[in-house]
Amino acid sequence: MAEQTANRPFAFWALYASLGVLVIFVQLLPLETEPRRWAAPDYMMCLAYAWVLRRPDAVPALLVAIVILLTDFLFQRPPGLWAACVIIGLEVLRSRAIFMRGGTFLLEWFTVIVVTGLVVVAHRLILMLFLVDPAPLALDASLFLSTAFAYPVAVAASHFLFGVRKAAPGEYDPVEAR
Amino acid sequence: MARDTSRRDDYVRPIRRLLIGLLVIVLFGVFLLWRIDSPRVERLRANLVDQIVPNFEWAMAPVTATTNIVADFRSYRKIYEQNQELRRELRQMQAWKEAALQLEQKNAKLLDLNKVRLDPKLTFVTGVVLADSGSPFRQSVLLNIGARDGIQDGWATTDGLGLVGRISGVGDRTARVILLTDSNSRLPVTIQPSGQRAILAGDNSPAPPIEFLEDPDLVRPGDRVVSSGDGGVFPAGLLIGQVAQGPDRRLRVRLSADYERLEFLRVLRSRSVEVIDEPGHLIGPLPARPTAEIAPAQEATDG
Repeated sequence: MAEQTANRPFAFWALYASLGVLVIFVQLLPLETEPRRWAAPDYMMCLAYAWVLRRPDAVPALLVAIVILLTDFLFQRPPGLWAACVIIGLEVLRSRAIFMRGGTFLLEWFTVIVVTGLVVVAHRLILMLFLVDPAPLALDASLFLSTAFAYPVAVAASHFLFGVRKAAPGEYDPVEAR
Repeated sequence: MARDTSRRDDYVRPIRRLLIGLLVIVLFGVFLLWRIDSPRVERLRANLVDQIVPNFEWAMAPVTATTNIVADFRSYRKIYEQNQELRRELRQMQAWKEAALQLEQKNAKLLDLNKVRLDPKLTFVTGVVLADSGSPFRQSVLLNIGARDGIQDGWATTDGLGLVGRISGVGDRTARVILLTDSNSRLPVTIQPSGQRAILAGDNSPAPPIEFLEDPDLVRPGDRVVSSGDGGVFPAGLLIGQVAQGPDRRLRVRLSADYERLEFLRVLRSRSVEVIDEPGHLIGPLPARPTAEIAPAQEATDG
């Protein structure tokens, strides 16, 4: 799959969009209507960050923005803010992608954890700044932790299931991204 | 190749940056718009949900049913203990049934004597739960009935036994119910038998705490909590739950509605409530006094 789509990222775009629909579908299932004490990871953010460090052209900012904005609307979050924070994090990682290509996975994981933490904290701070009641601290903290721990799983799934692998030098031109 | 890339960067990069910046500004603008003119954006959200979620219905119903069957199947292992427990409860119930029958007969007699007519507006529409809020930050469910069934914002929703929440956000085919456990939910309640008024404030926990209680000494765990009807939010006297004391000594309400399995919900048709169609203003002295006097007059003609 990686060979076929080396120069055509459209397959990845379609894959990302359909995974987004799947995640929305599963999360909306009315299985648990009791309040939970912890938050599940934000799967679409996790996937976007895993992919941008491997194939920056697979996750254009506009696509991620549309998917996350849709989840903002459907999951009753203040619309737009979470999407804006995630996109800024995505672009920070995209600018680091070239330097990370030769690095170890631990370094990559650490970078993603830092970026995810900053995204969650920024989202919370802006909510407070605009006098919106923020969620309980435990929920935001568990969102951060579960997303951090879901990241290696997302990377493994991307590598083995979806064929999103680090490109060999010269395989494609990162400037084509977007 | 590296040199080639860097040369193309010279003009691609700034444009890219500009576009990303524009995208972030647009997203942030959506948030600002939501903050400034919340009702309008929430209506947009309700319409968006109305367009999208019913399309999932054909797949959601079987998947939800299957998952629930699996969960039920797991509980078969404990079937013996459950059976014993049910027998015990049944014995207690028979005593209660006897008491209820006697009360019902007495009540019927009294109603007959009084020639009481029940308010015909207290009828209900039953809906099926389509989806939940999708994130642990908000406690709400989506029903498959909406404006075309005459549902209006602010109506009370029960599961047949206890109060579940209120309608907030109506699309054409769907309506959202904000549950009592949501951190935005505030409901005036009366605690029986002492008659104390208080506010039930959701805080994202399964048992919402009671706030603004005048005299906590008069309230004991086990007391019934019903809606008080203050502020015209809900009809008075809807069962909510029982008072319980949490480990932190705070008085909380154990809700009567079965929040683990919200499947069919009843939306009570109540008299029209205040419609929120503009963002909040500063609360100051009222510019025109007569408005306060018109409201009760209207209500009287309604009833």
